[in-house]
Amino acid sequence: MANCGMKILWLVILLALTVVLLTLLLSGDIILYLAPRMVPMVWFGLAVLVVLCVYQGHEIFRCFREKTQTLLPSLRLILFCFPILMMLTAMPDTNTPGSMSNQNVRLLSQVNSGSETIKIEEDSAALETNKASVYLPCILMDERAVFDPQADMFASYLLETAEALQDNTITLYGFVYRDDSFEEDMVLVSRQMITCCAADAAIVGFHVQVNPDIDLQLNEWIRVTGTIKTKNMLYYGTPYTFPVLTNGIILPCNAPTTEYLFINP
Amino acid sequence: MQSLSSNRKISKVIGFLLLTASIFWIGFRFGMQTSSVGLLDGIRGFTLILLSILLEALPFVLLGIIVSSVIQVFITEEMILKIMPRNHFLRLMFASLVGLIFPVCECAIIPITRGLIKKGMPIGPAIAFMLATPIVNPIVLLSTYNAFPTMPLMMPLRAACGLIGAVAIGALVGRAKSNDVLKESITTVCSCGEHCHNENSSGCQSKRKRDLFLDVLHHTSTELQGVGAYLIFGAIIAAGVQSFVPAKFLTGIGSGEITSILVMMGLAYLLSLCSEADAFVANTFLYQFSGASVLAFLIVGPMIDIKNTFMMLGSFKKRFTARLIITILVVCFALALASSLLIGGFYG
Repeated sequence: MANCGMKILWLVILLALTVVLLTLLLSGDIILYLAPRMVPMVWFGLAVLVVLCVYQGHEIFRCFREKTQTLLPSLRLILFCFPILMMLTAMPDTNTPGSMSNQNVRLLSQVNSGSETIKIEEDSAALETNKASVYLPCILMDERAVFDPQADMFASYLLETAEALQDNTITLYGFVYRDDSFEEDMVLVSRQMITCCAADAAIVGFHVQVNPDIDLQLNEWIRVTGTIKTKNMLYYGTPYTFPVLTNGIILPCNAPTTEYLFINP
Repeated sequence: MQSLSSNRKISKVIGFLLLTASIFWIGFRFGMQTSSVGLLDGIRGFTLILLSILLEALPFVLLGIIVSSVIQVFITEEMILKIMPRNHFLRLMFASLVGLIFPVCECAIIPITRGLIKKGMPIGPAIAFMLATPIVNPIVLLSTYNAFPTMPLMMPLRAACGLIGAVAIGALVGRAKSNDVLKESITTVCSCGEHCHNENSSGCQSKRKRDLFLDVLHHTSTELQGVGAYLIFGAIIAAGVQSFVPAKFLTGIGSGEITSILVMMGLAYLLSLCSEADAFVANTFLYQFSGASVLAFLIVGPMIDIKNTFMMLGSFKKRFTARLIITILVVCFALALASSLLIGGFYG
């Protein structure tokens, strides 16, 4: 009976995994974890689990009937309970912060050829000149914006070159990010870009010039409309030319349902 | 003997709990203090990464286990040896290039490799197959090409280093015997009532198709228990490291060429990214690290990481796994350093 008990436990685990996958797929919450192109594989995994559940039911029936001897390592089955337990106690949702301290940051996009950041020869005079240039900061307003998926052009702008965007007025939705390497009056309006799953998420974004005194919280969602100007800045000690949103307005914004950007969707 | 076995199991559980608690303590002590993310959000983030790793890996692991089970039931040693070249070096090359027509990710490759070794495939080509296939396959190469638009040579460089590395590592570890490589498998009774799945069997070809299908399911279910447990354990460690161990500790170290290669190899091991996605993440490191060290990241990650280490420990013996990991790291380091010395100008 003890051996049949282990088989029953394995069936329970298989059923729990099946229910979890089915719930995530039918509710659409699978997109919290995976890129859309990976979803067909999850359906495949679900189908295999269903078949294994049916097979395990058959094995239990045979176990009770024939009292067959099978060695099953129980310690390993306990490990299967861990992810299920985590889901029940600390289920992530769309409000889980985007910018974890360890995520990698890509400034502008290097997906498309020609849209890479331009590394300039270190020229202290040029850098000083840029600092003295008048790039008006974007202003923070009190109104609140609603995320409009139809107006979300973030992915499209990522594919443009800095030169193509120069002097264009664009609107971006994203969350606020900054790290120690940024200048004092710079934040990033950013999104999380995913290739396969949330574990490989990288932060991509555009610089926004702001007044250092304004109150912008890390991970706060904003809508910013500004004019693109290129600016030479040091990043980890190396000078680059970045496109920067200037002379515009920032509105706090509701976070979208799906926060990720998917490349190769 | 039974109490000794029980004591070992209890020790393993305690060890696992202590390790998990240590990761959490390190993270909260050093990592969370450097970010504005609170405790509950940190745990949610850990859960997000853990579940995303498992949800992505599980279907491919199931696929690999099914392929391995089919190999166990339907493929004979004679079939394997028939399709492989006789020359040792050509065998290694052939095994390394299989990924071009049979793209498999690193999650699925370990159970398949184990199945092939059990069926008599020589160790060297099996290991070369296991290491090269996650790199030298069309999907990964295309992702690499897209991720480095300003370095179009990065893709062929990754493929070449992956191929050379896999062949070299396969040759270096290939002298081991399968008894020294594979863990003792759990003895199971297949549906025909006989022990018929040994290394030299013909797979019970006289059985009915229904019984063969049940055999495949039986192998799949049993292997999932073993492989799946190690996958979960590895994913927990990988998610914990990603969530709570500040990467800036490592990235702050790498300044010279050699240290940056070592740092990037360490990051590739710790981040446990899938080989389709790692190129885009690697691209973000170009601001801080040399091209050669980014190349090291791209070839070490698909070959070995935390998740794969535990999956290997579930299939291979500890001594062989340790020897394999050391060999992988040494060979990949040598390849990255050689690329830096020979074509350093390419990286800019």
